[in-house]
Amino acid sequence: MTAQVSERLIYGGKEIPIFSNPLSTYLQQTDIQFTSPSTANWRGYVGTWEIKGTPETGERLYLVKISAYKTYEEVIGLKDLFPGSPIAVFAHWFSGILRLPQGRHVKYVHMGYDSKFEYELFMQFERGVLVNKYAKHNPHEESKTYDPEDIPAFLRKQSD
Amino acid sequence: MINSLTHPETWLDWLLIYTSIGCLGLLFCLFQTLRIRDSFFTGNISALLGHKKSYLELIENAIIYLVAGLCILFGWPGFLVWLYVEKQRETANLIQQNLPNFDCAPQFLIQKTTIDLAESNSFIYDPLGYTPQVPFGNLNRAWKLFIDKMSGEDSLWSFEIPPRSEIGKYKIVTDGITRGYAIIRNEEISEELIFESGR
Repeated sequence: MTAQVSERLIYGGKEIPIFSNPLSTYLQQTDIQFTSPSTANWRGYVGTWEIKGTPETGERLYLVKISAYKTYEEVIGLKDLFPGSPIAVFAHWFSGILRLPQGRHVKYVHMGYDSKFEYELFMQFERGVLVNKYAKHNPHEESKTYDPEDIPAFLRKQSD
Repeated sequence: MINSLTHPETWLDWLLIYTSIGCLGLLFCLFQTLRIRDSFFTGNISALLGHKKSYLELIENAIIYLVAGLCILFGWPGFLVWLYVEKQRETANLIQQNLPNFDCAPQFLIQKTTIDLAESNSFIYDPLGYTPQVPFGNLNRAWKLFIDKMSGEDSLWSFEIPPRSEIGKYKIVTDGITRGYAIIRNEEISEELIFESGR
């Protein structure tokens, strides 16, 4: 599986990638499916999210923009998907953790959101309300050296 | 020979009957192999690409076919048992694949409730006022589709799946808490609605 194009979060004046799909529960429950435009976007959409509100009143996760492939040719936006909430949609269904990669790319993994970055910021939500934030440092992984004898013969031939 | 098959007397007659059945199995397998082998076109393309079989490969193939043929000829009862076991396994897999893939399982059910009670507990507080003030907010459409599936004898239950539980038929481990409602029909979960999840 190819590495997947991520959702985006507007946070601290910047747009940063999210390695989680907070819209998936909503789409699953409303039986909405999109068309994948490429192998890098199997879910068929890219959403932009924003945390609105203050720590006093509660910081909430809102979907503020979406580009979703209804068909291969037709791309729909927020007002098509949520006619009742054309400006922003409160993700009250989301009780989970958003994983936000930060800093240098330390390891590329050709699979979903498995690539590693220097730092990861985690934001924990309960019913769409931010309840906790923490960060993790991922030390740079040294490239492994391989003994040519450990590589199967047919692969060794290709690399020659 | 026909007399030996219809009126077996000696052990050789019985062996003939036994191997005749094996012969039928062997013919069936040969027919299946010929049916799925490369077409003339594919063979030509392979030859053009230089995928020609060497003499060693041809001898290897001949030995494999010979050994397989002898196994079927003399060991056909074992082959029949294997075929039966394989068929049973395929049927069990098909049943498993056709099972509905619900996150909720009986052990996660909490209590029986009503539509009115569920709706009254479901309103969303959104200080910015973007969320429609209807039951289950943005998931109102999903809720309506869900309760439309309820019929006379069905009952509505709330459920809660703790984090790090195995859910669904593929035993996916959850990250966060999952909450929802399930329709119970004939003591089985027939529908579910998830209104809170960490996926």
